[in-house]
Amino acid sequence: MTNTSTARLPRVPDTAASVLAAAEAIALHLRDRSPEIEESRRLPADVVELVRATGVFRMGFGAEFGGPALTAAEQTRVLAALAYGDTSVGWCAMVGMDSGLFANYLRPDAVRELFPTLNESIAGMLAPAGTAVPVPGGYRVTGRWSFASGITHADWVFAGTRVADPADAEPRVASDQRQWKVVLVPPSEVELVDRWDTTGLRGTASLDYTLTDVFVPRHRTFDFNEPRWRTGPLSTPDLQMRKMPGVALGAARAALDHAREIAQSKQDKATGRPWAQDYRVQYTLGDCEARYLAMHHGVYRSLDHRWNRLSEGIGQEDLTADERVETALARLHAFRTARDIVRTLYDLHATLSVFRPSPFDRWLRDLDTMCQHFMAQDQIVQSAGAFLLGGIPHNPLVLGILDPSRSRR
Amino acid sequence: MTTVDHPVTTVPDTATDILAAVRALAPSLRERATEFEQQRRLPRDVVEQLRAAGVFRMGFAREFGGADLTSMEQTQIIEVLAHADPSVGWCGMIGMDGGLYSAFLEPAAVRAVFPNADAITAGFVSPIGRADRVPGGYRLTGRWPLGSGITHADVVSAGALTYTDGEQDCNANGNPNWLVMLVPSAQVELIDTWYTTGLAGSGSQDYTITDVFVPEEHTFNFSRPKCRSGAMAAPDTLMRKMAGVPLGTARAALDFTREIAAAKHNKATGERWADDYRVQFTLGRCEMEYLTLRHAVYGSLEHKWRTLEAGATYDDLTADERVGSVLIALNAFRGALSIVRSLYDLLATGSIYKPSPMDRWLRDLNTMCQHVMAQDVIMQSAGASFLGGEPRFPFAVGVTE
Repeated sequence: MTNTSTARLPRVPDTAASVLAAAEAIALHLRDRSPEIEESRRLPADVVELVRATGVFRMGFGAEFGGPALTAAEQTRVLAALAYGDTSVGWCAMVGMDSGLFANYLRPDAVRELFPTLNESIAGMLAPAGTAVPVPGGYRVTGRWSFASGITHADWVFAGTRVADPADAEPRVASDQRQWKVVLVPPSEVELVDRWDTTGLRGTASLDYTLTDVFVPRHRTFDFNEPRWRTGPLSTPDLQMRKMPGVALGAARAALDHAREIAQSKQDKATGRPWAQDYRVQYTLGDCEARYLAMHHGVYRSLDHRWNRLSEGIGQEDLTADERVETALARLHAFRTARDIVRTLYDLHATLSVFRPSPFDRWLRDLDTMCQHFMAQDQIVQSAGAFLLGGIPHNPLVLGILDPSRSRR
Repeated sequence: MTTVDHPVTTVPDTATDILAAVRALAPSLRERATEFEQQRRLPRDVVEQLRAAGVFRMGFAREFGGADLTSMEQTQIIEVLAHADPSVGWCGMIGMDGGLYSAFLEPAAVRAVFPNADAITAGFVSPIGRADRVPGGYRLTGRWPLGSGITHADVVSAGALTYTDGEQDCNANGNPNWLVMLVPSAQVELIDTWYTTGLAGSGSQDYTITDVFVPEEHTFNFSRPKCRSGAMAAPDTLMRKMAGVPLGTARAALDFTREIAAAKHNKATGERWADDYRVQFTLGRCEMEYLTLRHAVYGSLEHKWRTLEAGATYDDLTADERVGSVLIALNAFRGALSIVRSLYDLLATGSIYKPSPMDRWLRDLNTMCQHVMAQDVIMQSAGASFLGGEPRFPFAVGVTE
């Protein structure tokens, strides 16, 4: 007896090691495609399939669904490997894999229905920019959202909403008191608004999108307040934030390796002196490497620490204040440090950096754009400090606090 | 059958017990920090408290009565000492070097040089002295600076180049032959040059050794291990735990500031500091810098430790693996200074009065960051290793021959 239906399915890597190896294997090919990816302002369809075949979109799904259940640190390593090839690909993979993480908030039968192969990618914006009006069996959703990286190739689109009071004809959009509901819709029900004409991360196609009075059945909605797990590493609302710094780590590592490669063979044109013997070059590479090591260890060790602590069977309320702020700070540090490193290397190579065949220009633009993300802002630093002191964080969500009225420790 | 009924004082000899012992000492050390500064050395009773806590036996192998701690455990304990007082942390960090040196001596020499595993070392290992070969050993002469803790040391180390019949010796690589020589502190003359702004309590005086006979077996090179293998036989063991001092100092300043900020109000507006954007942001940023520094220190040490314990030699390590922990140590020194300076500025005039330790922490870190391990030359040496260039401070990248 042969099982032909299984035989026809492509073999997708399904362990941390094999997904990582698959990501590493395509990285340099992705680098070759970077100019094209930028030019198209989205990932070409064949690149999407190449990325899908690494298993990256399924890496967050738990064993209960047949997923490889990578830890946050393992997910981050895979994303770093893809971003090492191309930053926009790394970013799209980072968002696209949220399908497996959102599965921790959906009913298991809904997960199986929405993600039959587990390798479906997802795109959207979580912030509650739309409105969901309760109707029998679900909600009617209307709104406009931004920054839907990867939406041009996504299998599902998510969108954050506030649930309107059914008795309230005019929903109070500004109110924070109404339930924050995330809805999932097929891309066919979404209208795209293409204003993604940016300096960096151009290939991510982070378009705006609208939904207009679209019916979403209840099983395709979830609330971060209602995870399926009350304790453990999958129980906390920072679930989808943790692997973000992989993109910054991969881009910085790529720039460092590229700079080293150049420095090993280059000679100063005026003096003929090898760059390998040049104090400025040696010092700059040493300095950048020191900063990279700090961001690298900061990210992975804080992720492992949080994962292991929560795995003891506790919830985020049981973490110390210092543990609560740690991953958010390490994440922001990674974004900003990657940008600093790339800027320093850009300067090291002077005019060599500015020409398009050199990727330094693209890495710098990618990181300049990336560092404008919500997760790389001063308010996160403020939030950490405020939380430690008993003040009010301006961004409670980043600390896993869903109810802003309870954000003071 | 009789039982011994007199109390036996036992020195802690596990990481957990030594950690607990230094934690118990910490409050009194913090209280006496001003006294250490004024005396420009550690008082005798404090030295004996540290000895009784097991600090100086951390690096010796079990067979010599040591606690055989990993580099990570050593660093953690030094952090606690520096959190109490940076000069104490610094002297603890240097004073425990005997156990690390012992890896490069024959077992009999370990027993001959160190009366026991609680013996305290001090000294300057770079080869600025001269050792003339004589039957059975060397006659050593020189002047060395920066002998932190030398006022209370039992054994003094001194780096020298060796000479035979007036000619400088070469090692197998054709370079001058660098040996570190160990002599009893009684054979050393101190010159009190230690008038500094920071780390005043460390007593880091100059010292001279004049025509002293040092038996061959009491000398060593960091690349020629004799009685240990694995992670503790590598040439960088001395450097690994250094980051504990700046980390402990920065943590102390952070804890101190948090305590103040949680209770303080702005005098003009009455606003709580806990609700003040500037305070929140500064603390958040300093905590961010601190936690990445600390993770990098322990992450790189653990990686190196595991790799060497798995049987790799130092030469098997990649350039990145060799210099990673050294770069990170430099980052820890400079990062701690930057953190303490930010907190000093946050507290403004609240920092400058002597009852506030903030002023001392800043001075301690300013002085600490002049150490060679916190210098630009380390960046250059690391970068040169990556590129195949020439490191200007080869010891930092594990080259001692």
